[in-house]
Amino acid sequence: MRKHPFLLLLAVAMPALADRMPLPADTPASFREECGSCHLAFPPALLAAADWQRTMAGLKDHFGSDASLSAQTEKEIADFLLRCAGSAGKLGAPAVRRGSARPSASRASTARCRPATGAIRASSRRAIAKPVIAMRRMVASASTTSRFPNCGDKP
Amino acid sequence: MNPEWRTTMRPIPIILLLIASSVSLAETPQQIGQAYAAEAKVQQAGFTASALRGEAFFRQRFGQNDKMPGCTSCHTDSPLKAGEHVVTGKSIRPLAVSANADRFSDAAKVEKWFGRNCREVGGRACTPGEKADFVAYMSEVR
Repeated sequence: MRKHPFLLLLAVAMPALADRMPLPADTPASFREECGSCHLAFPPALLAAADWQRTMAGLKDHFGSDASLSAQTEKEIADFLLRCAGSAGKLGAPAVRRGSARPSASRASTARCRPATGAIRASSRRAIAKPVIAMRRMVASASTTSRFPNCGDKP
Repeated sequence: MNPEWRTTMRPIPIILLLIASSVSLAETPQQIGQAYAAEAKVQQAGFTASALRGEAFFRQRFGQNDKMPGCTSCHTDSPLKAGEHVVTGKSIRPLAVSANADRFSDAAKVEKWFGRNCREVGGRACTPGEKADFVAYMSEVR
């Protein structure tokens, strides 16, 4: 925690959302286990498919830690993340446009994702907009530097 | 029969056994250690797992990773104690079977962590012999 401002940020920002933005009903056990043992198991809708692909492609250096998986588990988790990923258009917006928070169940990327019981409220979507944008920026920068620029090296 | 063919083909049944064993519900540290030892015997005739070598390996400084020079960086000097991951801060239950009955009871999980940690800390994959020694030490240490 102390060495990872990233984890600190997420630890502060994400648990508050977790109960309002639950995991999809068909979340595989491997996702909860592998992606929820060091940090919160982030709902796939928080990142777009391309972000998840980038994350899954770099598991050998996952923000400074080796998080590689067996081929079978990796495929199971990647399939789930891509199936349930968020909409790139909405997540990538610099600010949330008012009135655009309506979930679109017919979108192709979410068509095969079984949503959790209880719809996400528009107010929750607004509340998560900033952490989501911060998270996407970090994932994007991590792809080029392999580590977060603000991650200190000192113990 | 071509002797070369035999040596190259022999590991396959062992790998299959390892995969099959990972499907079963629970394994013992002895079974997991024996599977690695059997794999090591293929490469080195007469191999026997050694807890002493396992301890030396556990305490070795590999010098490949500044944050994690060796196993003890995260697992502490004592396998009987709980550790903490130096990067993620995640708490780690003891490695010793005597202190943590869940250790070495799931071959797939053991392989996953050897895979990650050997590469990250040692800079290379561990050999089956090193794994067998390590499991032997962690099974015996009290």
